Amino acid sequence: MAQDVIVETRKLTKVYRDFWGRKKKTALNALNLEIRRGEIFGLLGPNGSGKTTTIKLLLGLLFPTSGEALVFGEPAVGVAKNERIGYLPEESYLYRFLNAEETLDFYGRLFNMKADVRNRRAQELIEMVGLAGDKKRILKEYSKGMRQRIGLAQALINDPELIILDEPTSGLDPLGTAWMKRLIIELREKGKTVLMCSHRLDDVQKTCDRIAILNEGELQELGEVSKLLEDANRVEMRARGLPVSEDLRRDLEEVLRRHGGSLESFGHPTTTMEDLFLRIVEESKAHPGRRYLPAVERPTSAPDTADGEPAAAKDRSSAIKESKPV
Amino acid sequence: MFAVLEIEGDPLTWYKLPSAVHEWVEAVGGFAILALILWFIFRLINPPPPAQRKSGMSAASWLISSTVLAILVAIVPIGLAVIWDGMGLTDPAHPRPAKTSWTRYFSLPFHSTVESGTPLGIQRDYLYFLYYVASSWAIAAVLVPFFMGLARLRFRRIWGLAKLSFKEAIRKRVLWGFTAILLVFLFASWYLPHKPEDQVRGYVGVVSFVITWLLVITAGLLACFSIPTDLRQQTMHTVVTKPVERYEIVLGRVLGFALLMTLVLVVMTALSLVYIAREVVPEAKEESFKARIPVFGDLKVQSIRDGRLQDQGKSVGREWGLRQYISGGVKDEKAAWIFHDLPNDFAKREKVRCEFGFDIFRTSKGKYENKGVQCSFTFMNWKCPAAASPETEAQLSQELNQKQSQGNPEEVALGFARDNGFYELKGVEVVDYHTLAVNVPGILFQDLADWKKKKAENPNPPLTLVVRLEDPSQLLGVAKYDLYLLEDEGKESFWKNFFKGAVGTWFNLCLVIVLGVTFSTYLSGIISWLLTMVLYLGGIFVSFVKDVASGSTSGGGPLEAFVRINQNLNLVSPLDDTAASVQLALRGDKVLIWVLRRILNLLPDLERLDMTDYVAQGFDISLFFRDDSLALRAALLIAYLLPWAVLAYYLMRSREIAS
Repeated sequence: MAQDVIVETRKLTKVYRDFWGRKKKTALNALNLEIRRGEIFGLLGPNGSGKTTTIKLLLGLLFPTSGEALVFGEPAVGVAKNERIGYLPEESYLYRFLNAEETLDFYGRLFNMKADVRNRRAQELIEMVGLAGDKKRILKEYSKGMRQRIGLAQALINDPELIILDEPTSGLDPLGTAWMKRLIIELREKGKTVLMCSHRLDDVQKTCDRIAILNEGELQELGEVSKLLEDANRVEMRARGLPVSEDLRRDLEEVLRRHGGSLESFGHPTTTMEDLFLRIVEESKAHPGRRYLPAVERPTSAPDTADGEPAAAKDRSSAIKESKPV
Repeated sequence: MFAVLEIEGDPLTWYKLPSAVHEWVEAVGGFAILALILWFIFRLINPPPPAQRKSGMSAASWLISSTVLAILVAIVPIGLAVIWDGMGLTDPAHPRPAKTSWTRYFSLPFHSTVESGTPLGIQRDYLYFLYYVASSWAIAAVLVPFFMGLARLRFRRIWGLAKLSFKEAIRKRVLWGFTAILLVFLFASWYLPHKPEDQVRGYVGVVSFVITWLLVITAGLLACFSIPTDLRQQTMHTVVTKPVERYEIVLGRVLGFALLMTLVLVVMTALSLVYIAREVVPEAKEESFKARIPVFGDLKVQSIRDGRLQDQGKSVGREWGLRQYISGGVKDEKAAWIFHDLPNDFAKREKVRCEFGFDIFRTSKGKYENKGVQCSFTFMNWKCPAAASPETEAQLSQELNQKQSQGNPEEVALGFARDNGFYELKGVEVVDYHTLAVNVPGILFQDLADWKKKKAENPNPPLTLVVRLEDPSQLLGVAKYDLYLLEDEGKESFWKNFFKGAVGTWFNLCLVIVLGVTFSTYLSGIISWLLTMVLYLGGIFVSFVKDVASGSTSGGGPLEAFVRINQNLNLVSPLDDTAASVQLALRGDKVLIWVLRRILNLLPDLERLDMTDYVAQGFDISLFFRDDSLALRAALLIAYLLPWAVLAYYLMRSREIAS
């Protein structure tokens, strides 16, 4: 195993059997995988593809039927490797009768941390995940997002080298999702390795360096995100300061025809729903007391402003500014 | 007044420890051999992947370590026997002869404690020796990986897990259930018997019963459902993915629940003591609000059965079979208590109190109705030749009577006791269901120190006490613990003894917690709970199970009893051996009894752990040195729980958390 390979599986197989030893299901079949130090690795696949089984095998929660799973060069069933791992499960399976401080104190104790180190680390993490105001409340009273945050805090309590996240944005609103993605990228920048399991493909696309796609226990695809998503048959261009018109369209078609290509689409690009949502929420925080205005009441549209802000956004801003607070 | 300890079976004694360890090695070794065989078969069918095999210790190092440890395990009973001998800790009833060979220590493993006196003779002994060696090796083979696992444990993590269990129980409001004890404090006096002298006994019995069952049920539920709930809710996943040894999870649970239950037990015991002390009446205080320190002797009963004198008393058909009966007015029928050792303190006393409570079985009423019976008490020390000879006893008695008729009876009796070691009390009135007392003159124990120095050369015990029933047509029922000499009454207080008795309840709690957590490492909560309760209830009735397993119950085994019920036969009527159903039942019983004997090793001896009777009857519970001490009972509990603790280690290690 090369030095920069943190996780390696060699023909890793997991077959579930019934009480009498009869085969029920092959959850994973001869998986060969390597995760390198400092990367964000995504594990994708439909339900029942073997993603969670792979993670459980790497964590030692399940024993392989055959093959090997090595983490930091040691068998995954060993306990010693857990010193360097943090794990955030899909559902935040924490003890609901504890509050946030007690939870982090408990998990810190499991790492044999001394009391002062535990306390300091717990306070840092509680601040980082934004739960300082709720640290004395028991987890039973937390919302889903808050439980996810404290779950992440416990995963980072030992400042791990490898962080395993199972559906980290599950149940989070777009703000929470954006926060989580930012955090994951920050972890990579700190030199951590992240193994992420997710159904949300846009999250994976924006954060992961490499991905593996599983289906029915078999590895279907493995590689860098950028290379896998690259469409070599198409060229994409974006331009500023041009009005959409038929003349422009005809000229572009002409140019592309001369180079042997064809125009597939022409018009204003769309932003993503996530970007729109985030922008609106940020603006509402910056300008409290605003309301949405119906289209008939909005002022007429104007060209892009000098600072490049799109006209539609400007419309919205002016619509927001002009409304009266309730 | 009636203060009698009803102890069935021999007490736990320190001098029996080497043979007890030997029995433990045999019994536990059998299970270890079975476990190893099953493990080998399982590994052949389901070999682990190479990576998993690499992570454990190699086969060669396991074999070598096991062999070394096996030698230690095998030597322990022999070593203990040597040390015990050196310290003089031998059975007073069978003292070691002055000159013996050292090779006697090695005879210990050659004789099985399970069966003796076999017709195969020496061949069977070699087989048992081989079995003993195999048991020792199997225990060692199981313990080697266990000890290696123990070396990786860290107390900080165990303490963290223990605190978690503690908090979980408190925050889930488990403690509210203990408020049920208040019902006892409020209403028990309405329902308990009103005999004043029985008050303390009644109150102690009720509070002990309620506290024990409240705590045992709660502890059992906590222990049995904790780990399965964690597994179901997957909270276990976030724990196991930390650098936590799986056995730390088990130990943390056990420690946390044990601490919580200990705290509750202390509080409930204190409240119960206040409740009892407030309500106690003077008669009850005199009877059993104390902590006597008794000295018991061995009982030998002689009676005439089938026309000849036998070393056994008569049975009158009463249920408690440990009492034997002697007839009145028959000189040869007697009950003799032999005291093989006495406290040094007796030599300094002017008199030693002897308390007793016998049963009277009347064959006729008439003039004896509502009256006691007359008994004679004969005390003989080691100097008295009559201790070994009934004829000499009769001569001395006659001589004493003659001398007493010529002088002051009291002074004559004391002088006779000093010179001949013989003292007699006649016409002592004995009444049913009462604890009575006579005083033994201290002059009989004057040279006790001398006797102790020359014990090995003098075969006579320091005191033999013979009781005879003088009234004809009556029978006197006696048991070993019906009579004792009082070592001390004032030194030990009732409240200290009450707390010592509560330690018995604590032993019960530890047992239930360890069993519950062990089963729950692999089974669901409800199945763990059922198994734990089956073993616990089996432990309550272990004496009965032992009787059935030894074939000593009237009416035979379970299948024979079934046949008798069907045929409306009583327990002693002969069965028709030619009938096929009877033959089938008898054969089936042999198999069942064989199985019961094996299951017997799985049942805890709860009778040994329960000390309520001591407290209720006003007898002191020894901490360490005397028979049935707390230390001995704790050792018994540890010996029972240790194999379960090892089983929990392997179960937790081998299970998949996420399956």
